[in-house]
Amino acid sequence: MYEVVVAINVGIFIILALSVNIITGYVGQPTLGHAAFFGIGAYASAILTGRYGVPFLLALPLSSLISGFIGTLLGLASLRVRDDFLAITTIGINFVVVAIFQYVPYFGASFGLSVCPAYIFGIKMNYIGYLYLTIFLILLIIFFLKKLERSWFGLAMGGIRNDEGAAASIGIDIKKYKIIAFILGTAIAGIAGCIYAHYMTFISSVDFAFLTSITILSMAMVGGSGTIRGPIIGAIFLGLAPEVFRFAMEYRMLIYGALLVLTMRFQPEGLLGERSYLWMTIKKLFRETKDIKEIESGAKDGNS
Amino acid sequence: MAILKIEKLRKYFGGVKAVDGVSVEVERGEILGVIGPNGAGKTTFFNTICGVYRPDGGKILLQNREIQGLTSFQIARLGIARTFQIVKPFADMIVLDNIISAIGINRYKSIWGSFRNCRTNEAISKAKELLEMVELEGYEQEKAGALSLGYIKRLEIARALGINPKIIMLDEPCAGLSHDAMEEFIQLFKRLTTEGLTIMMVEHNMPTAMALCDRMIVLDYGEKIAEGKPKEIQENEKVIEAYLGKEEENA
Repeated sequence: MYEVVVAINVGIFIILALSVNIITGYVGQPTLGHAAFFGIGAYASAILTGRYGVPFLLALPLSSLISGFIGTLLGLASLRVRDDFLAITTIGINFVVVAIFQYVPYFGASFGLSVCPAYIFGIKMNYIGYLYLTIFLILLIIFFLKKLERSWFGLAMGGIRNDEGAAASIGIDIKKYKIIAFILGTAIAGIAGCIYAHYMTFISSVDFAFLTSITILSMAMVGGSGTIRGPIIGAIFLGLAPEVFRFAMEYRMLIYGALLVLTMRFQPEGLLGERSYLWMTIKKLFRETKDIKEIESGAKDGNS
Repeated sequence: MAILKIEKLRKYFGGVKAVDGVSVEVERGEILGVIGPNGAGKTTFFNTICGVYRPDGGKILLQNREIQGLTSFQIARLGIARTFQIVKPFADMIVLDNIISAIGINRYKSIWGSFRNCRTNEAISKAKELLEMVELEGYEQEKAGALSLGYIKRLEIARALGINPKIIMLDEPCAGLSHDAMEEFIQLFKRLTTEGLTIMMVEHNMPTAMALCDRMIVLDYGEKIAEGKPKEIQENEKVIEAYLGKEEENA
């Protein structure tokens, strides 16, 4: 059971890291308040299912929509402020959202909210169920992101990330694509929030505080932002770190922080970024085995 | 008939008159040079036409359609491409994708359409064609940021051509290039105009500008002080004065 719980946790982090990566990795907009949208998804689903009796399978897309809708506002803000100012704005949004959860009685205030268990087709979800659901959603998101990377949308985002002036000079509507990227990223974070709420059965504002935002962002950055494999590996790596270093409980944050600093110093593109040492090695190994296979098959053809 | 007509274009930054009432007509298929001493407002002039800045006055007519006040991406979609004085490649993308992203100019209009696959055979072959034109074949899979300055300039020209423009505005395309590369560029630009493309260019290097341009305008302190064939410009007293300063009476 312990393994399943850890796996679900890591799975939720994978979804979050992939979602923040759309905004920071693909379009290159700094966002340090992503946990706010994780929280909005969680609270939205908790309230929809608990107070309005909305079935879980409907609450899942709805909470994503609500999160994405509020994400639009952040997207609009990103058109006005840039770079470090945007980063600070996103931190501010995170604090505001957490404060609303913490002080508004409708959201349970400082008591938090208990979340009713999820039923799918009348069957109550157990941990294994949540694990399968998480894995299914991760696969769905990866499929979507793969498609996104290969699309004109992907090129538009790449253009904006590299140089907005140049992107505009080839007809890319920067505002439109920035906002959509924010909507996509925040909506996916909302999905993660919904699963988290129902699987934890209890949520409170601290779960979605600034520290969570930093954790999510670190996962994407350490893994290698701008790729799909990076955030996944980053989420697994940093998601498992607290479990692996459980013996060094007091030093957990220290180890975590040190890992971050070391990655940024020596592998700024992330462990599995496009030009990182690890990824280059993997690619080289892959190419070599391929070459050997080709030579072998060539030799066979020659003999026959 | 003029493809691009600029009437009394003005752009002020506070009290600085960067572009002050410049009028010019650009004929289809010609190479129009924009020259002038440092700080004359050449790049601002270009940026105002391209929609980077909103003009404070005057009109810009592209094939008789008023385009002043539109933003960069809209003007690009209408067929005005550009390169940059300080190169702006999509550095972390491969060369091929840099070009394909420009070829997709009409795909960015609809959100749903832009979710389609961009690396179609058609787009790739067109991108390769453009890369061949600027002699960048063989570099398709390189990161654009890893190229040398000269190659990035070529890349920018290919990218600008990728949007299939009517007019291309080149901001110092030859600056920082070797003599041979410059010769190649000159040949390329001449060939492009015979295919119906109109070129406007800022150029600092006088011999290059003289060799390349059909006509020139000279800007000084944001104002147009001369217009004409390179030969005429060379002998224009106002131009000499702007570049070298006024001769003292008793010198």
